[in-house]
Amino acid sequence: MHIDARELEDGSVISGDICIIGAGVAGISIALQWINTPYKVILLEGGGFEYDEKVQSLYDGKITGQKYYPMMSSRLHYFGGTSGHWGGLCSQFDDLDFSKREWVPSSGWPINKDDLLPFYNHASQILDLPSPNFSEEYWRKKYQSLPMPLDSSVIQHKVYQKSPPTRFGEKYKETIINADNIFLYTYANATELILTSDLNAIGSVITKNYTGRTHTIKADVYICACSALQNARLLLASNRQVSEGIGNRYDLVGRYFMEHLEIRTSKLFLNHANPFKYYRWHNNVSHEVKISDELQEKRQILNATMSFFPLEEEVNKKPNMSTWMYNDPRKSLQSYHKGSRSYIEGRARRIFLSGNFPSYEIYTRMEQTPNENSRLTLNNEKDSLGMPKVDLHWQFTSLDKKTLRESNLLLGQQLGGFEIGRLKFNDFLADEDDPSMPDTISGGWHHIGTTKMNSDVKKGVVDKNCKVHSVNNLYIAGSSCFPTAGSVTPTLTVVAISLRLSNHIRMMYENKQSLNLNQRIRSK
Amino acid sequence: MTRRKFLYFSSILLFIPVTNFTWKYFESRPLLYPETLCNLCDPIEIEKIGKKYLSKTPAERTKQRLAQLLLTDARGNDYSEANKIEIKKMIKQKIKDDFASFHTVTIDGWIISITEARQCALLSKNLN
Repeated sequence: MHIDARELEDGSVISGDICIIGAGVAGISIALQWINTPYKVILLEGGGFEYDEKVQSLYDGKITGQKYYPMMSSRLHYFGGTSGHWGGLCSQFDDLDFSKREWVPSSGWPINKDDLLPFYNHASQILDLPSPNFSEEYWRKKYQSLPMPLDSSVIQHKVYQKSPPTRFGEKYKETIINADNIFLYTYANATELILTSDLNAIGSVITKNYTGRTHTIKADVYICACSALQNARLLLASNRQVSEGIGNRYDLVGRYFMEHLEIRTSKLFLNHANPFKYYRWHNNVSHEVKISDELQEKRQILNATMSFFPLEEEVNKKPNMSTWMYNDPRKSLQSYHKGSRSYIEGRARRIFLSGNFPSYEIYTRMEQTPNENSRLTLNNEKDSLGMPKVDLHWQFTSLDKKTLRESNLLLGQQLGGFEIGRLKFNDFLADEDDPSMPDTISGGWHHIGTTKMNSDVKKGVVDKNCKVHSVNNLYIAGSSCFPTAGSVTPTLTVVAISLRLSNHIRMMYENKQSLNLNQRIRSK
Repeated sequence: MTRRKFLYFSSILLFIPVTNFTWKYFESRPLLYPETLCNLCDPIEIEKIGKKYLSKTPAERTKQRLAQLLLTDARGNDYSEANKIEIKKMIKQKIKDDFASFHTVTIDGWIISITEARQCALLSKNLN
């Protein structure tokens, strides 16, 4: 069922069992699991079904620290969320990503990869991937292709699969609207969470839209699924009853903002031209290289993957941080594609000629060091709905640059040793004593870590089930819960962790724990 | 055609065989010929790499010292009496071993074997 909150009577109170705040990848993935169940699920979306400048402007904020994309255009604010323009690249996190690594501050998840595996399989279906199988051996046998003959104790390979890309707003719109027990409210921007009088649970959510209407949502369980930036913003802005914001007793909400550093790091000059088929997309599967877990530990570096693009396709391509510069995400996307013109020419060359290239640009995508000073805070300005805007302070540590350099160095040593070619650092990495990061260092539009997971209430905002510590019925879905970012794109893991959360809540209901919860909430 | 233009074009035509001859000269002297790098870089780049390596390693600044280091294999065997083919083979293996044991240097962004760097250094000394 769909209701446009712009047409809903001002002051309406809406009640249900579960309230999902945000209809992006995480929110929709969760909502799908509740279709045809006996529960009333309220799904709140701040925008409509199409781009709306007035709604998009609610995402505006200020960037401090390292140069970043404009806040207003790095996410999409309508049904389907940022899946409206994502690229579709998917991979699974490594086991290492979940483990405590002594050389990576604040690393370690309270869950491991095995806890997510069943949900990874299901997530692969939701994202229309070719297969839930991400094993390198499986794909090597299937397509009879071979990687570069490198030492596997140094270099390993990561499988990537491509979603079509699935546009959640298009693919799942009818399914959600036609579900009898799912109540989708568009133009329902959550601006504040209201605690119960004992401050131990959420009693209601306030939503607003630009027609001036305000509504109240009441549910047993609330799930914030509105992206890492907005999840943190909502908790911080809900500060009328607790001045530091909800779930923020230990000043962790908004901290540990992480992105994936994505940057051209070096050039590979081959002894013999090679199409590098193993590292190109074939039937929506590709591979990237990474440094082995053992060597990451030995060299005390972060997890990173490296990919290869023919140099002649890349030579005139501008960095993403230079092209994605408009507040309007549609203009930014256009500018980004224009910056890839030589890529198109190179692709044409690859189609009509043999596709053998003598040189490649190496892109490194890596996790960022969890850094408490890389953070989102509220500023003094308010948006058109009266919600405080945010400052985003993106910050690196020396380990980030060390990882970029070391990963490429290790790869270069392997490529030289196996007589494949020679690697040349790009200028910003050539001097090992230079700690600075260029302005052109780009992120992947991946917002991670602002309400991170930890079993210890003093070290995390949510517990291992994504429940906000000390708030009985508030959960957070998505990448804001990740304690570390992994080296791969996050969307598959966002869906997997959201499905796991949904499953946890479902089991809670089935164990009838919620009956006690219902009585407690309704009595307040 | 003016005399100036004639001289200009003649000098270009002469330059090509001279540089080719020079490169072929070094190609036949394995100590002075970092083969892979010479396939990937121009002589100016090779010379630059060599000079930068020398500036970082004062103890290796003489031709004799560089030659001594290059003519000693990973096990400490001396190849000064060996023929060119054996030296070339030994140097190739040495380069492989350098990479495998992380004995590399980064010069001007290039990640190269220390043996290659010494070859570039010795080459740059011979060009001057």
